[in-house]
Amino acid sequence: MTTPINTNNPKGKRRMILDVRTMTHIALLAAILVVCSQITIPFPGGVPITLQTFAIALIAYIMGSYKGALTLIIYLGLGAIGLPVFAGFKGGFDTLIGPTGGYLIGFLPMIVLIGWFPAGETVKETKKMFFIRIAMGLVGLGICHTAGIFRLSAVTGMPLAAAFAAGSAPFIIKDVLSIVLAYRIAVAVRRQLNRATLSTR
Amino acid sequence: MQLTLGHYYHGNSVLHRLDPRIKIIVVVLFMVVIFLLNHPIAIAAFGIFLFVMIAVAKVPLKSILRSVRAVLFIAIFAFIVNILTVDAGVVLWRLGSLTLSTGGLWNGFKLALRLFYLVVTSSLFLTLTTTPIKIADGLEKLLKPLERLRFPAHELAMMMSIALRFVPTLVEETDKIMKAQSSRGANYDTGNIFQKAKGMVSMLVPLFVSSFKRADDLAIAMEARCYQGGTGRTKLHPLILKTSDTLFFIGALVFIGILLTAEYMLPPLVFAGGI
Repeated sequence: MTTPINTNNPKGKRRMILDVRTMTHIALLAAILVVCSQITIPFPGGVPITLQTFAIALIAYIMGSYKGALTLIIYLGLGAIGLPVFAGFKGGFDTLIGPTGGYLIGFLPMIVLIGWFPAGETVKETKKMFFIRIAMGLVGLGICHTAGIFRLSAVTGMPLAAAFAAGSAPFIIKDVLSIVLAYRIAVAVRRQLNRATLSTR
Repeated sequence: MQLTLGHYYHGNSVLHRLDPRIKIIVVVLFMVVIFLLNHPIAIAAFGIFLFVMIAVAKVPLKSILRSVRAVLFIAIFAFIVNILTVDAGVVLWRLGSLTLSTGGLWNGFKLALRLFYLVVTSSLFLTLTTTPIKIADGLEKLLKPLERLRFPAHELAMMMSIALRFVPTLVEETDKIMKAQSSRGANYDTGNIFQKAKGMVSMLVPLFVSSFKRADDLAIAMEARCYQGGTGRTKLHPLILKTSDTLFFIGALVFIGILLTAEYMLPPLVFAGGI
């Protein structure tokens, strides 16, 4: 891509930090993340769960660390300026800095870890890579929950164990399941996208 | 509820018209102050201030309560844990290692109240009275000095507004894809969770493909119009600080000063057990 010379702007020596194509791709991915995290699946037992963790893990497995992390930053930014994009139509600055904000910030290390080995790069997914990727996802999830628990405990003055019981325990099975499912789907989606010969990276 | 407006409550009060930059700075300052407040009188004063501000903003109490409801469960949980574990002041009741004391009660009450203050402050000053576009504008302006350190402030704001613009398009697109795939025999509703997830592949692949195409088209369109990033761009509604903004900011600083003076100068009340 050639960079056009800006004749209107004599001070235009500043090179763009991100090129336009990366910017539009990230923006559209963030929009996908918003749409996906609003989909709810009625879980056995009747409690509807949102796909926030699933959608974030999916983007990370498909897009890798760099694009994944940028996408998440835009997603968190959209939430911070007041759009109800977080799970359960929550949104706003208060959600991000409030008691459960640690989980949202904790998604950032999670997405970097998951994206370290993006899915579907090789044609054949070996069993070893499968375990490495799932393990990376679970470690990332662990970091995300740890960040969430510490933040929750700091804001509410609860001991860590109580914070775990209130913030993490009810969701941990769902989240582990989300990681595994996201991986399975990411492999399938990635393969199809490769077949469509789209430049995704 | 419109997704692109969030929980914004339309109005024309003093709070609505304040400069978003001032509001963001004030909210961040209040966040810090809320965590510093321990004295009952200072905490009560902040509560009264919030009620006055709600009245000034002419925001219905219902929308305030919605943000409170989001943290209600955690607040109650924290309250119970605190009254049972903190032992200070006059002990009212004791059972093994669990104690119920005036200090514990106050501590639990204080922490729950802090949570409410936290969410009410930020939703009152930002989410409810400022449109997302304005907040994004304010954030971009505030982060602008960081561009010297290669922080992509303008790029982030630009990506956020692109994402904002495409969310409704993608919602519609997802709906269309699901209907199209259903008419071709795709099944999204039956089977166990793994089968449902498999069905999502047939929805996600077209969604990704069409999004990447849109992104490419948009990039070409932007480059064709010589998009160069933030340098030299002008705005339709530039942010200009008015006298009222400055006055509000000074007022907020004075209020914070008074709160902190009260916090550190007033003698501790007995029932709080020195907490």
